[in-house]
Amino acid sequence: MISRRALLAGSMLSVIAGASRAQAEANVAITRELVTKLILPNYEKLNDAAKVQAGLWADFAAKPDAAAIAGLRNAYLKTADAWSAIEFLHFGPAGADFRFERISYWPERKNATGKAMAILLAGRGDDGLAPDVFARSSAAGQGLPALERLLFDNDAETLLLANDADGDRRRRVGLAIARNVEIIAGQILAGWRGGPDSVLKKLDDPGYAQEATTRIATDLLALFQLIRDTKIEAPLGKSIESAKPRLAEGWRSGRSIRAIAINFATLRDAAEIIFANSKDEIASPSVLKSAVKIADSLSAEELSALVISPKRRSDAVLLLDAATSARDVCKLEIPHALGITIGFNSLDGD
Amino acid sequence: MRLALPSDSIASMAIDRRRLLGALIAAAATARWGTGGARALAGEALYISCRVDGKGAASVAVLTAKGDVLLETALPARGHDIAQDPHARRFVVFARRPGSWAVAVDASRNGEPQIITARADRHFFGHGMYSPDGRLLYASENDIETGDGIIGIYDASGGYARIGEFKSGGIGPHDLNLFGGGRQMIIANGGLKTLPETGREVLNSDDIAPNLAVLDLASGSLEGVFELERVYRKLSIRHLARTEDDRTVFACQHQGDADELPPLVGVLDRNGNTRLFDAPEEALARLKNYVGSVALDKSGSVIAATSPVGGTAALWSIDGNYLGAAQIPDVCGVARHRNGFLMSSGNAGVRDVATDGRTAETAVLQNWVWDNHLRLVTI
Repeated sequence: MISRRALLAGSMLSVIAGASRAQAEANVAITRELVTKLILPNYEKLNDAAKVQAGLWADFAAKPDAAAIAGLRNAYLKTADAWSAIEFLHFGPAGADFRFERISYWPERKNATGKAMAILLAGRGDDGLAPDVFARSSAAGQGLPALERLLFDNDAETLLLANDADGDRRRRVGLAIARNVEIIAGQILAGWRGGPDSVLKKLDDPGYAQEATTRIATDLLALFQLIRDTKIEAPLGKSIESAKPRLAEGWRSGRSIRAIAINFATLRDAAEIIFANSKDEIASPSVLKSAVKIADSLSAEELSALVISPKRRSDAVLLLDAATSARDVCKLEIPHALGITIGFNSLDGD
Repeated sequence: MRLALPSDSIASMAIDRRRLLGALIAAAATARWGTGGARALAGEALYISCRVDGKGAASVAVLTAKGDVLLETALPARGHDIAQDPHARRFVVFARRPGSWAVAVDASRNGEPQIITARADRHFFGHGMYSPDGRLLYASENDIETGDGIIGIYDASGGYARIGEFKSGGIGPHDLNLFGGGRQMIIANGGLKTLPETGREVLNSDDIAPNLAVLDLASGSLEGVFELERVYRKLSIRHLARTEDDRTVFACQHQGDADELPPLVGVLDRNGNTRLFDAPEEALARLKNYVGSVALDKSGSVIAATSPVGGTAALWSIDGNYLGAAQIPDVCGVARHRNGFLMSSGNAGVRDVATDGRTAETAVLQNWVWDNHLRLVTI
């Protein structure tokens, strides 16, 4: 393996070397591969899952049925999984109109989702739920974390099936959220591949393609911070006494480690594309495969339970170590391979 | 003004450091005019910022929004902010905290930039400003022994000799600006105690003491200290911008829990009233509790606040109405440009941003890592 020092020097050197035609052409090719083999397929899966989910909610709102709730939960889990596979990307249409936050306002701040849900559920009928009005309401109540509460909170089933105005409103809110996620997923997909202003079309411009390379790589590397600091370290705490299990992502639906496993799988897939033609000795794909394996082996567990279990807490630490190792390797190798630099302003604290 | 002349031993240490820094800058330090000098004469707006190149070499550059570089000067290490003499074609670049050097460049001469070293028991915090008449240079500094905030005073008409200092009215002074019609100085005392031996580690994170302090420029006497309400006491006030009618825009970095989302930008009016600006929750969430730089547009009616951590720049009217945001990774430098702003990034070049957040699709000067601050200059 190349020494870190050599990699660092190489990575900085390549900011200027990045102007070389060969590097620029290679980057355009890699970026196109990332878009066509990773980004577009994952947004298509999100779009498809969100459509199915919205359809099931429309049926359920029209005819509430206890048997349908399992289907709603399954559709939610598929949509949330699809989001986990592409949540790293802020570049492009997801970054516009707060679409990213409106699909998934997480981590939750100041009980924002709870407050937004209380306001939504206090309404009656379809008040405030028309798509264009709903899209302007609090982002915290518009997306998947809000829907998770409706489906997986205590007494969710009873409340969703209640044969009164509250139950009716709750079902309509669920439908409004599901439709909203469907609309946003469709807007993002269209922004990537629909028409002359789409990102796909704009990649024909070499200057835009170079910027897209930098931004996609920046977003990929930022996912390590999200996984490590926010998804694992925040609930883990410094000790079992200071663990905060409710900071785990998706603890209500039991998908906190599953979401991390999917995040790692996206990083692995991206690394395989980025390093497909690399002549250097690189470690990123293999450390990411290890991270996926570790996360997969724990994905039936719930992180919120592991962090407060004297016997199983070490598994959460293992997951954190896997994230740290993968981050340390990738943050050197990915910028080096692409001949880009990741800016330092965001790390300065000044 | 309290004059505090260095002892002989301190003076000799300072000379040694000056020699060392001089060696670091070496021959490359000569301010070099680029090929687009005629543009400056044509009246095109010019900007200045510190940057790092592909080899990790730091410099400061004067540029146009179109991407022409007119002047560049090597620096010993990463610079931070730049102060311009309001009456002359010269400026001073300050080292990033905790830095011990500043570099004075006179654009009217093709000479070697002058090194200004911090006193041995002080270090720079990265910001400074000239007096309204251009005769003095003020620098935000740290007293290494006590952690007290200091404003160092340098004779800009006499080789930048350090001629005295004021207390900053707090700890961790960062950005400075004029106040009270130019008769006073306002200081963003970030409230964070740091010492060189522990680098950038915050030593008082549980009890930070930020404020906006106002000093009389002539005497250095403290004429006012403005603190935020107790609920916002974890907001480290770091950067400032000033309207022509003497309101001070201030921008903060939250030192409390990450899941708190306090407002980060506010205005201190001429009557001493502070007001923090609200924004939609998702917009505050994107700032990630951090603003790295702040600027006003030409009309003085729109504020842009950048967050490199969040990769976003948020915009408000001077009255506090949220106007929108621009998404640019690692964005930090911001200065007024035409009817909007010019913004610089560590990995996405320099580009125009309108007052509603609409952002130029392509950037210039993308092969440079642009540092935290971008200033409109006249040279």
